[in-house]
Amino acid sequence: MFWVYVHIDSFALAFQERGTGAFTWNNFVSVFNNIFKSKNTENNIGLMMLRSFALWSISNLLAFPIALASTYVLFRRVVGHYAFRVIFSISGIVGAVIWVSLLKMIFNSSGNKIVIYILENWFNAKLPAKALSDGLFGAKETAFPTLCVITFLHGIAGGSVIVTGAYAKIPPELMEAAKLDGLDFWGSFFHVALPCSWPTISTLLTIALCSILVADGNVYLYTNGSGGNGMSTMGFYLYYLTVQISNNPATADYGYPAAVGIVVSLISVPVVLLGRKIITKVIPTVEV
Amino acid sequence: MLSPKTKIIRFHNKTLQEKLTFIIYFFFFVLMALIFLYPIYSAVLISFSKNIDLIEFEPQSFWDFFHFAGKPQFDSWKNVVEEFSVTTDVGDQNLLDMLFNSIWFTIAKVSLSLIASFVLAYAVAKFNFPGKTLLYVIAVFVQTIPLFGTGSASYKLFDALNMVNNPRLFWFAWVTGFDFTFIILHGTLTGISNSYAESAKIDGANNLTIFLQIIVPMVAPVLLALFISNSLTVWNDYSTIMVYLRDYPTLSYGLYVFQSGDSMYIANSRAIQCAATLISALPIILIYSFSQKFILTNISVGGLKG
Repeated sequence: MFWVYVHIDSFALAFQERGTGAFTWNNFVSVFNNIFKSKNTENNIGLMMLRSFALWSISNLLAFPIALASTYVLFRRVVGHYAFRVIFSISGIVGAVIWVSLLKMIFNSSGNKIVIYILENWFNAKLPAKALSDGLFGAKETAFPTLCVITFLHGIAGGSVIVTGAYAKIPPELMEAAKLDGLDFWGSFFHVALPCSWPTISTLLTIALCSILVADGNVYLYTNGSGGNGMSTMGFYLYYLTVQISNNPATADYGYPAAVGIVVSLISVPVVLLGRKIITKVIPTVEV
Repeated sequence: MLSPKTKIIRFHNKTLQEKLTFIIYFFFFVLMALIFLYPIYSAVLISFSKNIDLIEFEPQSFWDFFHFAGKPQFDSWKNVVEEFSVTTDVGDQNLLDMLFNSIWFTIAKVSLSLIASFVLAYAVAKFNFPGKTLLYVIAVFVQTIPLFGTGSASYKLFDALNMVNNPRLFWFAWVTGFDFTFIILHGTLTGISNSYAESAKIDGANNLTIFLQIIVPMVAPVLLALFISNSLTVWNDYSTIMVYLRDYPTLSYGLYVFQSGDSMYIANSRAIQCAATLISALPIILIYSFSQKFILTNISVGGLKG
C-alpha cells in the first residue's frame, strides 16, 4: 500500500503548483530547462546521467568481468584465498560512510596524501595546484577520474561475494568431467563455471541494470552533500533533493524532485528493458 | 573451498598453465590487498597520532606514510566516547548514544523486514489464492524496474503520518515485504517439498503448527544468514537516518556528520574521527569474517545457491 500510494502521489506531485497545488506543467518545464538550457554543467541532469552511466559501466562492464575471473581463481584455492576474500570484501561490508571516510584520509587535504605522493614521485604526474592544496577530490580535473578509479577497484574487489557461492555450488564431478574432456584451467572457467553460474550472474546484472543511469558513486559522502567539481551524479542529485526537503519540509518544493524522477524513469525504463532482453535472450541459461 | 567435495590439488601437481595463473594472480591479489588494507592501516596510525603532528606531517620518503606522525598517543582512544559527538535538536549525542541507536535500529529494521518478507514469501510460495502471481510479479517489478524520484512523496507521507523523527511509528516503514529478501526466501521455500506439510496435515497439524514446527526450522539457516547479511547493510545505512530519524543518530550517520564539519574542525579532530571509524568498522568486519562461509552457503540467488 505504501509503495503504490507513494508512486501515485509522486506522479501527482510532479503536476502540482508549489504552494497552491493547482495543475501545472511548470515542474517539467524546469526539468527540460535544466537539461537543454542550463549553463550549469554541474547539476545538468543530462550530464549527471552520463556520469552515472560512466560509473555504472566501469563497475559492471569493466570491473565485474575481471571480478568473475578473479573470484574463480580464489575459488580454485590460490594461496591465501580465504584472507584475500575477507580483505576484498571489507570495502563492501564496512559500508559507504566508513569506507569513504577512510579513503578521504588518503586522498584529501585533511589526510596524508599518499596517493598524491605516488602520482608525483612514481608517475611524474603534473597535478593542478588545487589538487595539491585540497586533495584529488578538491580539483575539477582530478575529482571525477579519481572517483572512476575507486569505482573500478571497488568493482573488482566487491562484486564477487555472491558469485563465490555460486561457483562453490557447481557439482565437483562436473569440473572433474571437464578436466577429463581436456578442458584446461580457463577452459573450465568459460565452459563450466560461467554457464553454471549464469542464473546468479544474470540476476545480479538484472538488478544492477536498475541503476544504469542513476549510479551515485557515493558522491554525497565524498563532497559532504554538496556535489561539485564535476562529480555530481544522478543518484547523488535525487538523494540531495530529498535531503533538501527534509531540511525544510514546510517550504520545500516537492514537485520538482518528483518531475525529475519521472523524466529519469522514462529514460531509464527502455534502457533497462533492453539490457534485460540482452541478458535473458542472448546468453542462454544452463540447467545444472 | 565451500564445498566439502572440492578436491585440493597440491601446487606441484598443477599444470604449467595453472601454476602461471596462480603465481600471476597471487601477486595481483597481494597488490589489491595492500591497496585495500592501507586505508585501514592509515586510520590506525592517525588514531594514535597527535593532531598537531598530523597537521605538520611532511613526508620525506614513501616509507614515512607507514610510520606514526610523531610520538604515538592514546588520547583519542581515551576521549573518543565523549569527543565523538553529534548535535541534534534534542541535544548532543556521544559515541555510546550512537552505538545504542545503531543496535536498536539494526535489530528492529532487519527483524521486522525479515519477518514481513518471510510470511509473505511463505504465503505466495505455498498457498494458492487469487492474486498470488500478481504479488510475485510486483515483488520482481519493484526490484528490477527503475522508478525514481519518490523521495519527496515518501517524505510527505511519513511527515503527514507523524513518523519523521518518531521511531515508535517509523517502524511501519520497515514492514515492506517486497524486497530482495522476499525473492531469496520465495526461491528457498519453493524448493521445499510439500510432502512434509502434507504428512503433518495427515497427522492432524494445523497451518500454524506446520509453519512454526516444520517450515521455520527448515528455513532457519537461510533466515539467520539473511539476518546477518541484512544487518551489515542496515548497520551502515546513513541515508535513512539523515532524512527520517535525525534525532536518533547511528554510528554511520554520526561519522558522516562528524567528517563533514568545517575543515579546521576536521583537521583538529582527525585522530578522534579515525578512532570512531575503526570502532564502527570492527564489529562488522569480525561478524563478516566469522560468518562469510555460513552466509554464502545459505543464501541462494537466481536458481543456484550462492
